[in-house]
Amino acid sequence: MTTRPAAVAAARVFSGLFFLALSAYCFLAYTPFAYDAFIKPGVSHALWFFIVIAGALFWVALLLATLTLLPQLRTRGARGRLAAWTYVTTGAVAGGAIVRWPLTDIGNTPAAFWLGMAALVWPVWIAVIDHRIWPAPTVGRADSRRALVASLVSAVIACTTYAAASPLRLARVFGIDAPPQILLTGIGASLVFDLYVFMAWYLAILTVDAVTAFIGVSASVEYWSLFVPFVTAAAVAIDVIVCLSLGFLGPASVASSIALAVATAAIWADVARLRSQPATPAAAPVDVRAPIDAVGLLCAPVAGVRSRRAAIALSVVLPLAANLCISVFQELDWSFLMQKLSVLTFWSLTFACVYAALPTSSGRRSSRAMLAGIPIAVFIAYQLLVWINPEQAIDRYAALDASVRLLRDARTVQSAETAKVYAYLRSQTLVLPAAVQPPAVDFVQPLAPASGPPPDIYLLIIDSLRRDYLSPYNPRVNFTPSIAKFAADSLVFDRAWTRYSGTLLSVPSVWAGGLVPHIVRQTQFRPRNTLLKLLEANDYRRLMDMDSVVETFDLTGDRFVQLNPGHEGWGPTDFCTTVVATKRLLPSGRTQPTFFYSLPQNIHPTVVLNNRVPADETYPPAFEPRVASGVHRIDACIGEFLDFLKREQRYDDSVIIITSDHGDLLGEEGRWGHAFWLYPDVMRVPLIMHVPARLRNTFRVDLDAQVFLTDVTPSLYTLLGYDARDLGPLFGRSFFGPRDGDSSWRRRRMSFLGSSYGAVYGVVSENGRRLYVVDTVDATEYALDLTAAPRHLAVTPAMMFLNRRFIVDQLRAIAAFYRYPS
Amino acid sequence: MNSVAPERLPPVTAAVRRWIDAGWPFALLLLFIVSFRSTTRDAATASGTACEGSRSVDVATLERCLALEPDDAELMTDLGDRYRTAGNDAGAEALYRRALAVDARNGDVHRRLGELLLARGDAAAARAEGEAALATQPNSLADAELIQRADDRARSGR
Repeated sequence: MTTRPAAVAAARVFSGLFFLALSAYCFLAYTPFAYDAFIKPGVSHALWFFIVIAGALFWVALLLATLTLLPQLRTRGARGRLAAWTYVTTGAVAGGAIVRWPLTDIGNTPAAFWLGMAALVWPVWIAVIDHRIWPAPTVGRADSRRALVASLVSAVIACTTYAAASPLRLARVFGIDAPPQILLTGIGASLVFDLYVFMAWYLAILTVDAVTAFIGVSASVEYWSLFVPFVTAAAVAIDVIVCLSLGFLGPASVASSIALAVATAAIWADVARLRSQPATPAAAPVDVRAPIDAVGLLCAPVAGVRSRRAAIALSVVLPLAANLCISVFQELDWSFLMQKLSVLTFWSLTFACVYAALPTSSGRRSSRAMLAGIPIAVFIAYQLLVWINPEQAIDRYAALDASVRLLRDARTVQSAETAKVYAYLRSQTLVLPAAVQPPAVDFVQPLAPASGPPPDIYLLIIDSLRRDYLSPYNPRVNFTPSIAKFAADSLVFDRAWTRYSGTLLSVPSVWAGGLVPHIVRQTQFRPRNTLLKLLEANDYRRLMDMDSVVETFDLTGDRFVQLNPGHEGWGPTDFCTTVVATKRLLPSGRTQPTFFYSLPQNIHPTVVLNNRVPADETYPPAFEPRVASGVHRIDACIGEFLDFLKREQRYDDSVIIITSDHGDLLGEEGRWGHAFWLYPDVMRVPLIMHVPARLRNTFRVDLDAQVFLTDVTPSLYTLLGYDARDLGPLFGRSFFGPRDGDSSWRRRRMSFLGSSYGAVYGVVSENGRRLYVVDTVDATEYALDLTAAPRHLAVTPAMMFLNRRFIVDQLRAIAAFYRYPS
Repeated sequence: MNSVAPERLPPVTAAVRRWIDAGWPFALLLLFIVSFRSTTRDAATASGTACEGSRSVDVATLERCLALEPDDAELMTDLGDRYRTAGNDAGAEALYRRALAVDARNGDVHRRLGELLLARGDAAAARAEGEAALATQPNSLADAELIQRADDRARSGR
C-alpha cells in the first residue's frame, strides 16, 4: 500500500458527491413537476451546466478511482484486486455508454429513475472495495459521556450560529416585526429545539450502545449499528424535505430516499475507514494504537480521529460556512429546501467536529443519573415550551433562523380529519396526464368571425412582476414612467389575481379562460384553448415569443410568426430583444388583425437577482434594488414598444394588456421566489388594459371589483362583440358588461386559487380583502386580511371548515369537468 | 455506564438491572420521538356559521354575521340594502359609510349612498357619490343616471 489514505479519502468524497448529485439529477428528471419546472426550461443554469459536464465528471471520478486502486490493479494477489479490476472495467463501459448516450437526453422517463438508482451503486461499490483493501481499525465501545457533552455543545453551537446572524438577516427581511423580546423568545425556543434534537441523536447512540452491549456483540458491530439511525434519519429527511417539496411522491420517492441515504452512509463509512488509517504507510500499524470508540469512528470523516486541533478549527469555521450557505441559498431556494438541507448538514458536521474535539472520558465513570437526567431535563424544557407555546415568536424568528423553520415545520402534525383533507388535496395535485380526458371548451359556439373589425391584441405577461413595483399600484414607485403613462389612458384593475402561483398553470389558465386540470403539462389543450379559437376564428396573425409553456399549445400554423426562434425554453426571454424583433416582423399593412404575445423573464428571480444594479441607479429603500432596476429596464422597453405602436398608428385601435402570471416574494417573512406560496405578493398581479375608444364606450367595467387572469380571454370575446357564455365558477367571465349591468356578484363570490407545483390551495373572498390558504406542503393554514397592508388573522375553526369545504368542492368540480378520478 | 458492578447484585436484580440498562435509552428515545410532533397548528374541524355563502337571509342573521365579521363591506352593503327597504335610511347610510371606510373605491356602495342622499334631497352629495362610483365603474349607466338625476334635481332646485 503506497497510497496516502487522506488523498484516497479526498477522491472518495469527490466521486461520492458527484454520484449523489448525478442520482439526484436523475430523480429530478424522473419527477414530472421537477422536470418541467426546473430542467426542461433550463431555469437553473447550475443544473444545466452540471448535466452537460456530467459525462466528463464521470470519467474524472473513474480516473481518480483507478489511480487510488493502482496498487491493487498492479499487484498480483493483492486484497481486493478482482473487485478493483471489476470496478474499473465496468466503469469504463459505463463511461463509454455516457459518451454514446449523453445524460442531457435523459428526459422525463422511467429510465431516469433507474439511472438515478444505478448512479448510487458506484459509491457503495467503491466503499465495499475500500473496506476490503484497508484494514479495520480497532474499535472500542461508544463513549456515552463524551457523546452527551458533544450533543450539548453542538446544540449550543447550532443555536448560537443562526442566532448570531439573525440581526443581520432581520435587516433584509420584510414584513417581520421582531422586537428584542420576540427575538429573545425565538432564540430561547431555538435553543430548546436544538437541545431536543441533539438529545434525541444522543439517545439513539445510547440505544445502539445499550442494545449491542445487552446482546453481547463486539464494538465493531456497535459501530455498524450506528448507521441504522444514520440511514433512517437521512432517508426520512430526504423523503419529507426534498421529495415532498418537489412533488416526488409514492413508492418511487421512498425507494430513492432510502437509496440516497444508503449511498450517503456508504460514502461516510468509506471515508471513516480511510480517515482512521495511519497518515502514511510508515506510521505505526493501526492495531497497536489505542482503539477508536464507535462514535469517534463514525465522526472520523469530518475531523479524523487523531487531531483535536483540526476538529476545534473546523468547529470555528463551520458556523461561518453555515450562515454563508443560508445567504447564498435564500434568494434562489425552493420552499426552503436548500436551506433546510444545509441545516441538517451543519448539524451533522458540527456534532462530528465537537465529538472529535472533546477528550475521551476513559477512566471517568458515567452515572445513569447523569446520562438520563440531562435528556429528561431537556424533555421537560421542551414540554414547557410546548405548553407556553410562543407561536408568534417562533413563527417570526423562523423567518430569520432556518434551523427553527426546519424544526417548526417538522414538528407539525395533522389530526386525522386534517390528514384526510390533505390527502385528498394531494390526490388532486399534479395528476397524471393520462388520467385526464378534457372536453372541448367554448365560450361561443358556433364561433363565426366577429361582426366588426377586430382590434389588434397585444398580450404581455411579464413573468414574476409584482404589482407594487409599478407606479399605477404604488405611488412610491418612481421608476416606471412608461407604464404610468400607459396606465393613464388605460383601465387599471385594482384587485386582479392570478389563479395559480406558478407559470406552468397560470399561463394555460389565461389561454383557456378558466381553471385547468392540475397537471404539469396540459394535454389535449387545443380543444379547450379558447383564446386560440378566438384568434383563429378572426384570422389573427400571431406574433409570439415561444416559451416552455406555450410551445405545448400547438400554436403554429400559417398565421404564426415566432419572435424568438430557437428560444423555446425559459432561458430567458428578454422583452427588449422582443421589441426589436417585433419592429422587424410586424407588418406595416393592416390587412389582417395581429395578436402579439410575450412572456418575458426580465424580472424572473433567476435572472434579475443575478444582475447588478448600474452605479448610476438608486431606488427607494422599500424596493429590492435589483428587481427595481429590472423593472425600470423593462419599463423603458415597454415605452419603446408602445411608442412604436403609436408611430405605426396601431396603438389607438389596439387592445393592449400588461399583466404578470404571478408575483414573487422578495424577502417577506424571509421568503424568496414563489415556490408553493399563495401569499398576496405572489397572487395579486398587475392588470392594465388599454381598450380602443370605440369599444370602451360600449361597456361598463368595475375596476374595484376582484377579477382574475382567467377573465382576460372571455373579456376579449366581449370586446370583439361576442356574447361569451357564463361557463360556471371554473371559468372566467368578462370584465366588460352591458352599461346597465351589475358586477356586485364579483365582490361577493369566494374564488379558488392554487399553487402550480404542490397541494397548496387558497380562497380569496370579500372582494379580495381576505385570503385563506391550506398549505399541505408545510402542513399549515393561514388567513390574511388584505384591507390595508397584509395582516395575519387567527384561523378559527369555522374559517377552517368553510374554506376547506370550498376548496374540496372546487377540486371535485374540476375533476368532474376534466373527467379524472376525484 | 453502570455505577454499580452487576456481579455484586443478586441474580434477579442483576437481570432486571441489565434489562433496564439496555432498555431505558430506547424508551427515552421513543418518548422524544413521539412527543416531538405537535398538532397545535391545525386543531379543529367544526361546522361553519350561518354567515357562509348565501346572503339571502333575514336581517337578524345579517346583523349577527356582521357582529362576527365586522369588516365585511359586502355584508354591510347587503344589510344596508335591507335597512333601506325597511325604511331605515339612517341605518342604511351608516352602514354604507362604514362599508366605504373599509373599501373606499366600492362603486356599488357609492351609488347606493348616492341614491339614498338624492332621495333625501342632497343633490350635491349624491352627485359626488355618483362621480366616485363612475370613477371605478367607467360607463356604468346606473352611475351616469344618478349623476344626471342629481344634476336635474340641483337645476330644478327641489
